[in-house]
Amino acid sequence: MKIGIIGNPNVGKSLIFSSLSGVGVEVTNYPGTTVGLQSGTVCCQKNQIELLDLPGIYSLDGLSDEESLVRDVIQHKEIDALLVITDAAHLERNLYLLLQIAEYDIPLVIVLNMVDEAKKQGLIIDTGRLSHLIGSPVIETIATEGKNIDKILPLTISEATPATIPVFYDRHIEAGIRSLNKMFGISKTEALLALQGIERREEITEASDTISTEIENEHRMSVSQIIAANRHHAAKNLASEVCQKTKRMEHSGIDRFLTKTIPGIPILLCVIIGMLLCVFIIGTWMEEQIVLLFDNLLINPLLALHLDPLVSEIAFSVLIALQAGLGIAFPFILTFYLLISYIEDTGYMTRAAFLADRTMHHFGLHGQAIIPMVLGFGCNVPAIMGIRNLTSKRERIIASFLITMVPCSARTVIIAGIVAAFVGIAYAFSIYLIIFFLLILTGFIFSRVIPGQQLGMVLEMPPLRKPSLYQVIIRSWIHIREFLFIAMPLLIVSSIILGIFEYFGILSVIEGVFAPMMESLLGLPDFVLTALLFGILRKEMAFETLVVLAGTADLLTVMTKVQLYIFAIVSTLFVPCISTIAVLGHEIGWRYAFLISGYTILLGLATGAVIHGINLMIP
Amino acid sequence: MIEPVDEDLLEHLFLSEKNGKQSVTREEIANALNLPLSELDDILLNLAGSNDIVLGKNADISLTQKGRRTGEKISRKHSVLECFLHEMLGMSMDTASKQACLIEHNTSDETIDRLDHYLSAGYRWCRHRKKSRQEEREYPSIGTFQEGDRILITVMNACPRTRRLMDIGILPGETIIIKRKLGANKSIVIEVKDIEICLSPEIASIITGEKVG
Repeated sequence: MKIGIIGNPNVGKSLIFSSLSGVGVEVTNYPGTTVGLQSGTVCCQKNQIELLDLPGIYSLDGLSDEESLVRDVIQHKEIDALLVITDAAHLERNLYLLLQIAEYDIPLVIVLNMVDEAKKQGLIIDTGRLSHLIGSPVIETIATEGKNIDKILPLTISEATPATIPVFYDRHIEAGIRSLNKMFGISKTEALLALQGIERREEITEASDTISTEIENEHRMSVSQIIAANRHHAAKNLASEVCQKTKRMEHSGIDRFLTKTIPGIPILLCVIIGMLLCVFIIGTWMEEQIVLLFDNLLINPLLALHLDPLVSEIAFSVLIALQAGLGIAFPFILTFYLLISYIEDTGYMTRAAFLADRTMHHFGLHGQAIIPMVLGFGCNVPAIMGIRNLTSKRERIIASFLITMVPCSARTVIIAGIVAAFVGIAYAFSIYLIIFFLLILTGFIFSRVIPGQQLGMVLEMPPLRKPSLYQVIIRSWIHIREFLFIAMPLLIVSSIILGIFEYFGILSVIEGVFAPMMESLLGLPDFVLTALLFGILRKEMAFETLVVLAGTADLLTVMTKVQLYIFAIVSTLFVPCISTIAVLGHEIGWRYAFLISGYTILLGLATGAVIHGINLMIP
Repeated sequence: MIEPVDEDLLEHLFLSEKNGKQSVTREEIANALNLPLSELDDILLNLAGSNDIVLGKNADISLTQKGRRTGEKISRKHSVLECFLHEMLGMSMDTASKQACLIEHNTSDETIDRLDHYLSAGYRWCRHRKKSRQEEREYPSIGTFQEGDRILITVMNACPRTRRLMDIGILPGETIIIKRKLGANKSIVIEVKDIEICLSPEIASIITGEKVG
């Protein structure tokens, strides 16, 4: 039996899903989309049940990726039953989606979640009456306390029934549905979609367009607006029939502070900087430990074995790839996701997005983009994974370009280790300034060049809540696992290729080919190219490799200050690391991943060349 | 409580004012409303007392701001009803006008608003409607209201996010509350159906509304 879990965002859907399915959760991409679907298998009353957590949506007639996906799943009846999760405290809004789901003939169980919150707000809901009116069973739950969660699946197996409650549409719409049904034999739901111009077969287009135009002329309102208004009206009636409000709800006082310029913006800055420091400090510390552990327990013993040189080289490549992957994945992504999931679950993110909306507009982005942008300072990988929350493809592309330019902690190591240590602290800061300038310039230009328009932000601000720690940990774990699956294979393969290149001397051939260019364009010695290439595996490896190749930790003996400065800025800008490229490919497609890589290579080389040029001109 | 005859008088004054006459005499009114002069004087004194009209030195009569509003409202009711009776129900213009004169005094504002909306859908060409269409006022965007205002949404222009707005309940006819508005940041937070939603400035600008109690 396959059961889908559906509901509005912020109704505790994911919590119910993870309470029902435990840790055995799988994340798969729905065919043809980048929307991730979580599924899990459980056993209940000797039935094997596959649970599918559908993304949170507001409507089945929406146009976003998530909404189209859910519509697809429901239309093709890919599930045997649906659990409709609703927020008891905001029943009316939730009924809007429920009424749409009711039109598809699928067995339902309605989960009335957060009844404790509703009670606190003085709402009394007559569950029996609700169930009677809708025609499907209703169960009250408090997911955060686990109340009644165990009863959901048995009830679904035994009693899930399709809803019988109809929405009465405007008579013209009803007439349109009847005509389309008579002409093409399509169902009510198909006719409604066709009339709204959302989805339809080609032969229907003309007829449905004619009917829609007629209705729109008559009402001077779009068909979608009429249908939405009818549904909202039905939801309102239904809610007023079953809900009784005993007192007026009061919003929490803290919220009033968070969305005011003062102290909202200072608080936002503190949260961002605090998070960054946490990710940076904890991440760097853990990374050091992991790298050290690998060196001591695996890499050094391997080198001491004196195996066949080729075997040794390949094994070594695999190990440094694992080291790079785990060195990034665990420290940074774990800390990042623990923090971000916690803050996300409190509902603070939407307040931050509200405050930052205006500023982000200058880059062609919206408020939601602030969080991934800032987190890029810790590590680009989770930052890129975070752009999923952005609404349009255009925004995701602009954000990806910008995030890959944000100097992550690994690049900070290069800047600190090379420039601050050998050239001077002021010069290290100048690198940041140059990067920020380029970043702002890129955002400014791209927001004007990349086609598509700014859609504007429509974001629900759920009440502030206390997150469940269990939920936070589960989510972080799922993300880390996802990263490992995406990035590890690529990391290992590219590391082996680099190792083999080095073994067979191909690297020195490449060095030989590019040496004149490196020399004339950037004024750098030829061995630097190898360091840059290794930097692609893990950014700070550019620094480590340089030291190894130079044969000394005192880099000033082999390179001039200007050369070090140019090397640092080129390797900072030049190509995101393999893990970032892998995640980019996964999130926005390989075409853009390569475009972004190409852009950063050009940007890095151009900036390096300009600095070299300026240096040559100064006597 | 204002009597039907008072309303008729204010309506008449409003219409003559609209036709360019700043003031009218008692005789003209008595003629138009078909009333004896003696009866008219009582009504005029009454209306002057309630601050609806001003009685001039030369026995000429003009409207105050308050009286003008009432007159305008009645005149609108009249033309909407007349349009409905004539154009939709097919009555002769004359009977329609006479009937409208009687009904206009006992019809609520809501009935007229809804009837007007209903008429404007199909019978755009009705000449009476055309006149009042020009008088229709332009509503301001919801971004211009203050925190705490309750706003009735009147018009929503199309934009790529309209679908989402409709799905979360932001539709013409729905009442929302402005919860938060920042000076530098033009984004706003509104409350609709007990849920807070934050909107970008470009979204707020396509939604217009009017303040309600």
